[in-house]
Amino acid sequence: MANDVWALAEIANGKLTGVSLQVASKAAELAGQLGSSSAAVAIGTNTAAATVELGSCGVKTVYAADGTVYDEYLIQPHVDTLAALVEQHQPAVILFVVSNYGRDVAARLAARLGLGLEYNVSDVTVEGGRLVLTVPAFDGAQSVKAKFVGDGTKLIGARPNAFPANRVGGTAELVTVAPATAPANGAKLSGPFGAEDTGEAGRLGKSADGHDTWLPAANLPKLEEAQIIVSGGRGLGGPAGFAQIEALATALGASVGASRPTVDDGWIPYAYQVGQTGKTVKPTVYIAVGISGAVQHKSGMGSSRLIIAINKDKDAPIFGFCDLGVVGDLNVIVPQLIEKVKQRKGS
Amino acid sequence: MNIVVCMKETPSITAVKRFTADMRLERRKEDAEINPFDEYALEEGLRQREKHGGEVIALCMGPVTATENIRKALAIGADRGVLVTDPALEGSDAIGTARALAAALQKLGFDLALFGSAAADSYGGVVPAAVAEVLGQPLLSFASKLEIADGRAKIERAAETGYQVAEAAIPALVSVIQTINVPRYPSMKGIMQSKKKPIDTFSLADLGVDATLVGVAGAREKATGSSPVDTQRKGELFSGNDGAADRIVAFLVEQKVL
Ligand SMILES: Cc1cc2nc3c(=O)[nH]c(=O)nc-3n(C[C@H](O)[C@H](O)[C@H](O)COP(=O)(O)OP(=O)(O)OC[C@H]3O[C@@H](n4cnc5c(N)ncnc54)[C@H](O)[C@@H]3O)c2cc1C
Ligand SMILES: Nc1ncnc2c1ncn2[C@@H]1O[C@H](COP(=O)(O)O)[C@@H](O)[C@H]1O
Repeated sequence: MANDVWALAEIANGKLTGVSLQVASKAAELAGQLGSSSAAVAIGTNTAAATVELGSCGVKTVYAADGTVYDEYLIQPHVDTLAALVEQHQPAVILFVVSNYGRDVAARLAARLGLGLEYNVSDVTVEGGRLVLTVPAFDGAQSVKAKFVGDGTKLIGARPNAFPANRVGGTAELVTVAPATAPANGAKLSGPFGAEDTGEAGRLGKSADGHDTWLPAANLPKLEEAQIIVSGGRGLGGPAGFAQIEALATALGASVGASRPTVDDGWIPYAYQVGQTGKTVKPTVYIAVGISGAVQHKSGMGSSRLIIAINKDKDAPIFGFCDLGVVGDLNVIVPQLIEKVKQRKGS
Repeated sequence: MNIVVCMKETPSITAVKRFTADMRLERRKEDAEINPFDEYALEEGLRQREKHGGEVIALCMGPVTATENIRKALAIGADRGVLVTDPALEGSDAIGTARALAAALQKLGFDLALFGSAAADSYGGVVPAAVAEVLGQPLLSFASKLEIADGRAKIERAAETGYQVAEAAIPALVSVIQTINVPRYPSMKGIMQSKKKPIDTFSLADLGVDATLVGVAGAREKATGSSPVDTQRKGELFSGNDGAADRIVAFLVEQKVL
C-alpha cells in the first residue's frame, strides 16, 4: 500500500541484530501517525526467530525470505528480493540502519529503482502528512531538516541508536517470500573466520602477524547498540591495558571501544574503533579512558548523551567536550572504579 | 592491470564549514583535500600495480579546481588523472554521483575499480555499491585485505567476530577500509613527475549521461534549513586520583545509569 512504512531488518549469521528492532519500532510508530500499515523485511537464514522479535516491536507484517543463498553471496540476492517486494507493494518508506549491510543494500536498491535515499538520519517526524528528516551535519554542530522530492519509495538510513527499540508486544503476520536465486555474476562469500568466539571473557591473543592483541569477549553488547561504552586509547600503554577496560565494561554491562592508534598498533581489532574512520556511536554514557579527544575521535562519539573522561593531562582536548572530566592516572582509578561498580551492583 | 581509483575531494576536518544559500556544503578550494578514506584506496591501487603491473588512474568527480588534488594523487604515484566535471553535476546526490562515476568507469575500462569506504563530508558510504549496481557488477565492500589471482579478486572484510572472505571475478569493484594499508606520502621526485602526467576532463556529454538524472535535477532529497545544535556539556572537572572513582560512581548514580 502506497502509504506503508517498512523497516529493513539485518540478519547476520542467522541472528537478528538489535538495531533492527530500533527501525522496526520506528516503522510501527510512523505508520501509526500516517494511518497506514507497517512491515519489516527479514532476509537471510533463521527468519522465523527474527519474525517473532520484529512482531514484538509492533510491525503488522513481516516479509521473510529464508535461504542459504543469502549467506553464500554478498548483498546481491538480498537486493533482488527486496527490489521485487518494493515493486510489488510500493511502500512509502523503508527505514534501514546505516551499517555496512544497510548501506550496501540501500545504495543498490536506490540505484536500481531510482529511489530517494537519505542516510545518517537522526530523526523522522510526520508534519502535515509528510515526512521531515533531521540529519546532523558538521560533526553534530548543525541539525539539517530535509525532505524528499518526487514519487516512489523513500529510503531512510538511521544512525544506530537514533530510535529506541520499543517492545510494545504483538505478533506480526508472516508472509513467506521465495528466496532469490544465486546471482550469475556475484560476489561469493565465506566466513566468518579468524578469531571466532573468544568465549565468556576477553583474552590476549595473537594477531595474524604474530603480535599481542586484546580479543574482547564475544558476548559483550555490540558497540552500535550499547547504552554504555568504555573506550580505551593510547594511554593504556599496550594491548594488555584493554583487560581493565573490558573488566570495567563487564561490571557496567557495557561495550568496549577503542581509539584509532590502538587499532593501528594492533592492540585490539578494528571492529572496536570509534571515530571518523571507525564506528559512530551514540550511547547514553561514553567513558573515554586514556583518550586525548582528537577531532577524528570526537566525530564518532560526540553525540553520546553523557561523556566521562579519564586522562592525566588536564589540557587534553577531551576535557573540552565532556560532562565529567577526571584528571588522574587511569592505572590507579580504573581498578578502583571496577571494584566500586561491582560493590554498587552487588548491593 | 587497469586500475581506477575513485577519489573525492572533501573539506578537511578542521575547516570551518558553512552551507550555501541553497543549503549545500560550501566547498572552498583552500580547504579541499583528498578524502582521507580514499588515500587507502589509492595506496592499494599502487600496491596492486607494483604486483601485477599496469596503470593507476585517479578518477574524481568535482569542480575544475579539484585538478589540484588529482595532481596530488599523481604525485603520490598514480599514472594519470581523470576529472569528471560539468555544471549540471552540481548538487548531485549519491545516486547521481554514482551514475556519473559508473559512466566514466565504463568509458575508461578497468580490471579493478577501488573506492574509499566513505566520504568525509557526509559519511555516506553508499556511492561504491550504487556504482556497482549501475554497472551490474558485484561490489567487494569494506575490504581489509585484497588479493588478485587467477582472474579473481578476493577480500577479507571485518565481521563482528573475525572476518569474512568474499571473492568475485575481474573486473571487480572493491571498497577499502583503513586497516588495509598505510598510505605513502608524495616524494620529491613524485611531485616533480606529477607535473608532466596527463589529466583528462570528461563532461556529461563526453560520458553520454542524461543531465536530468544527475545534479540538482536528479536529486531526490532536499535540505530545507538548518539550525545550530547546542553542544554545551556540563564540563565538571575533578582533579586527582583520590576520590575519583567515587565521583564517577556518584555521577553514574545521579544520572540513573547505575
Ligand atoms: C584521516 C584520519 C582519520 C582518523 N580517524 C580516527 C578515528 O576514527 N578514531 C580515532 O580515535 N582517531 C582517529 N584518527 C586519529 C586521531 O587524530 C588521533 O590521533 C587519535 O584519536 C588519538 O588517539 P588517543 O587519544 O588514543 O591517543 P593520544 O592522542 O596519544 O592520547 C593518549 C592520551 O592518554 C593520556 N594518558 C596517557 N597515560 C595516561 C594515564 N596513565 N592515565 C590517564 N591518561 C593517560 C594522555 O594524556 C593522552 O591524552 C584519525 C586521524 C586521521 C588523520
Ligand atoms: N565525487 C566523487 N568522485 C570520485 N569518487 C567519489 C566521489 N564521491 C564518492 N566517491 C567514491 O565513493 C566513496 C564513498 O563515498 P560516499 O558514498 O559519498 O561516502 C569515496 O570514498 C570515493 O571512493
